[in-house]
Amino acid sequence: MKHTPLTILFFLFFSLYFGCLAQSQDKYTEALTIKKLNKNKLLFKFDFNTISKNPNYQNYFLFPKTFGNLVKENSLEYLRFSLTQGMYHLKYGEIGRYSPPGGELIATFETKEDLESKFRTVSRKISGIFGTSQKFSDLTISAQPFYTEFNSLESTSQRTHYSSLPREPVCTENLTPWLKLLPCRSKAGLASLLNPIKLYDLFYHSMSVEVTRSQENSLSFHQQLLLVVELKEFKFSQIFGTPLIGPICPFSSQTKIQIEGFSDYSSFTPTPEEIGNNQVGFILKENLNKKDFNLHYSPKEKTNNNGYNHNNIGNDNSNNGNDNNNNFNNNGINDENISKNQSIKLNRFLKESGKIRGGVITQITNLEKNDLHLTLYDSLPWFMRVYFHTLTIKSNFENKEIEITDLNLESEQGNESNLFANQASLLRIQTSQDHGRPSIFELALVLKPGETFQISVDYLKGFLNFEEHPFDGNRGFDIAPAIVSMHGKKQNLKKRIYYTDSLLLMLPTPDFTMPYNVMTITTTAFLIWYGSFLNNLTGRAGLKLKKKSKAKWIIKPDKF
Amino acid sequence: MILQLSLLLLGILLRAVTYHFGLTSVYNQKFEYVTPFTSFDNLVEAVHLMSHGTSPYGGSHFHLPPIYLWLFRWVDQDSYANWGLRIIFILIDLICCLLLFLIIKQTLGQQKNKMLNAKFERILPVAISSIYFLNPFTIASCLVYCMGNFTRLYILLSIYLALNANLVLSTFVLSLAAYTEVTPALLIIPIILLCIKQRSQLFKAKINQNKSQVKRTQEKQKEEKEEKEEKKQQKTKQHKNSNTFLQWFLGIFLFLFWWVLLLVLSQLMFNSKFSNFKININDPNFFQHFFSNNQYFTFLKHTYFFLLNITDLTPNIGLYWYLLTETFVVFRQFLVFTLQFINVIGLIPFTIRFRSYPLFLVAVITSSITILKAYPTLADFPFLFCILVMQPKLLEKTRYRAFFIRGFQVVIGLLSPFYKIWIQDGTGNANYLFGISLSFSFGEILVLMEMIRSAMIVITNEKDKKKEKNSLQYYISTKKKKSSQRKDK
Repeated sequence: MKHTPLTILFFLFFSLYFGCLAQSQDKYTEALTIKKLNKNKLLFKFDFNTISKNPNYQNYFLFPKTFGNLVKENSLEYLRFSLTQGMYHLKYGEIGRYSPPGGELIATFETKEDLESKFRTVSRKISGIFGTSQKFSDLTISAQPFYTEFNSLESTSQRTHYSSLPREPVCTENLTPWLKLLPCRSKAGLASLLNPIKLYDLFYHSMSVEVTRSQENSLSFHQQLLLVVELKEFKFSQIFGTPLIGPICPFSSQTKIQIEGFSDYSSFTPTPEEIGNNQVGFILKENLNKKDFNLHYSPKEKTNNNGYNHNNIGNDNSNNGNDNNNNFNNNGINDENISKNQSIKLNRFLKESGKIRGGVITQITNLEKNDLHLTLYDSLPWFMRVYFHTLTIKSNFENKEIEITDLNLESEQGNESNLFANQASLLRIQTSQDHGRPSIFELALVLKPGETFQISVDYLKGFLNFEEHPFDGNRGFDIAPAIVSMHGKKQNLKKRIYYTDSLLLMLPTPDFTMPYNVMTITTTAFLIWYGSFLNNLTGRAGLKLKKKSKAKWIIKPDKF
Repeated sequence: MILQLSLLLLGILLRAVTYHFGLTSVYNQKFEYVTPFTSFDNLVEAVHLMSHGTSPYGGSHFHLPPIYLWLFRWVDQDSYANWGLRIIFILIDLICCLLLFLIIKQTLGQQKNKMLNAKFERILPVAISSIYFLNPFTIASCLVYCMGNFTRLYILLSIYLALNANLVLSTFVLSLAAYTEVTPALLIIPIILLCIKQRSQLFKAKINQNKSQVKRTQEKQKEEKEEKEEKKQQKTKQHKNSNTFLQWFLGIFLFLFWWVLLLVLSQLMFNSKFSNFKININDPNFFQHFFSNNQYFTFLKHTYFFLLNITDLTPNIGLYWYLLTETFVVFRQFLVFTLQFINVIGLIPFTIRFRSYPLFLVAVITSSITILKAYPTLADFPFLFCILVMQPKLLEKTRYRAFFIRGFQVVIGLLSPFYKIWIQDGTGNANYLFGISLSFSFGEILVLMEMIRSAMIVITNEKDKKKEKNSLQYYISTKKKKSSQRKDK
């Protein structure tokens, strides 16, 4: 066999390539978690993790270069971006970190200077990467939550900026760039299951990107896709359109499928195995490629389903507004709409009569067996002009109103030991500005087991110019959900973040069809003002004097 | 006297009864009485924010200058049932009513040619002041603690003081009105004119007294007397000329002085971190603190700029809200500037035409300010009427009185339902309310124009009479001269 220059070159490149592989410290893992939830829901959670140790921000191997540059240029410590379709309710079960409907962007920077301008550049780059709207940097929605901890980093309170767009549409255009960030794209590995046509038909769909720079100088890049399906039995080819065909991604150091929460593992074909750490599932190796991996699940006895709640398929959406109001005094615990391991129950709704004044009511119920320490972050846009003097908290215990202690901690940050000294304390108020920043309040709450807090605040609606209304003005405005974060230092609970429901606010709309008519008619009134006073003051000819006015029959001075 | 007292008592009783039966909560929902500028809820919110160490102007609720915050720093949400506050607002209305009574009585007393019969004249002050005090609009605005009541009180008080030729106090009270709502600042010119006129009248009256004394004592020495009289007249003329200039200068200076003083005072209050209003002059860093803070007069943005720029588009009975909702944002600044400038532009021709009738000038300027307000309430309507009727002889010349009365009945009756079908029920759209509020303002404009027209008629009548007199006197004097010349010949 002749050693042609081409083959020599080929070998040279190959050796270089493997040399790079050996040198780079990037580690990439893939995982799919299938979990059974309440109410016939199934969760498919795709996790793609890239960890790069000691990054030099110049040579990138598996870590995406765009995000490496983003982190370096803007001195980011943490970034999370998610696009979500559908609303996830806690009654389906806890699934860890999830996202509110629409888009959400959280960024923690190294320093707290120029936070807004930095956030603006980051948000523009992110929306450039994922093809979303540029509104994340809009001052009317973005703000700083001081007491909500979005990540495990320490003392991030003043360096974090948050913005959420509840009305951001999600489509395949956003998924394609997301898939391109993977080392194998959607050609191989678990990502080959992600068929955009099938994904957007599902009950809940949330894709997110999370970049964390830890203190040991390692960057982790976590891409997650949450899919919630409403099915009793499933097959990969049924949900995703294809079975898992392609080869396993060669860069992945571990590719596994994990199965949780099912009572009968024997109804799976192929049958799952133990994969360590008390986990059940499959570790995919290259030999699985020979035949298509089409996971199939069909429960043998459909009557024996522990985690299922019967007859609730149709009633899922009944859990709104007034129903909860009636449940307020029932401790909330006997409610059907609660899953087994749920530690908190959240409701949120509007009370309105007429289109001008109203109130936002948030209900939080503690379902744990010990006290819960929570902070609530509520941000309302400027056109909901909040009356902070109407902020009240009511407890279902003895149906009493709870006194809110005012802790103005803005001056002295980080003093968190006092945070939960009282049952309810107001941590922070930010007043809104017209056409500007939103109004924000943050509360620290201590809930006893079984206790429900009803937090209500009144607002007055602002009126918008007709150009400021969206094109479907009568649909209403989506209001981003409040964020409840659990501070569980004592109870060995993880720091968790929950989102309440997002709201739909109806604003009184002007008539969009006739701006010119209004302008002309009103300015005519002004013109008559001008014209008649000029006429009266100057036109002596018009004053042909009548010595006696004819209309005598209204005031007749002689008859007094 | 008994009639007056009983009417006053009736007004107070009506207010007390409506307060007692909690009609406040009913009227608090009505857009005719509660505007972003006058709302009491907003004051409560501002006080609450201040107690939390936040700026009271945050949240775009509160738009009154800081002294009101200091005055009402004790109010809270339960203050709607507070009798102290209720009594304050009843007193404001009561004082307004008494001032109207006194103003009209004084103007009727000063009239030279009495066109009305004596009985009518006697009853008129009581009638007009009780129209103001007893009508449902004023009572409703008293019920909802309308902050616009203050401006009305200041304007009436300053007119009354000017009628008594008290320049210093009337400019002070007017500066209070301007401090609250900016636009009443335009009233400074008619108020000074009124002061000057009243002072010269008082001076004349004194001289007349002197004259009569002189007449009695020195009736026989006619020739000497004539000489003296001539000298005195010359003196008074000189005195008058120098005095007018001084009064103009003093009036404008005093007005600006009071206004700036109030603004500086409120800046000092505002600077001390909202929570405590004590001005600590002993603090060595006091001036440093005052000057180092770059945010001078930030409250102006939320008070005066808010009123002039009309940032809040909440529906009211005025002209601007729907126009600015429906205009393209590009034209907004132009339109706001042009329309707000009407008052300033109108000031010049009105002043030139009615310079010798300052009381009517005051009425015209006040009503034009009231009509073109950014956030008017329905309580401004009876105020407008009473201000225009301060000179009752003008009423005789107005036309279309039946049309106006019926028209206002219909329009005011329709305001509330049209608001309800848009905002509460959602069955109608914004055009209903726009149409009705436009016709209300249009009606007010027509009334004002009618009053100006009748004033012009009265003025030209008077002038013609003077001319006739003068020509007659000239004719007689020339005839006398001719006849004497003939006699001489």
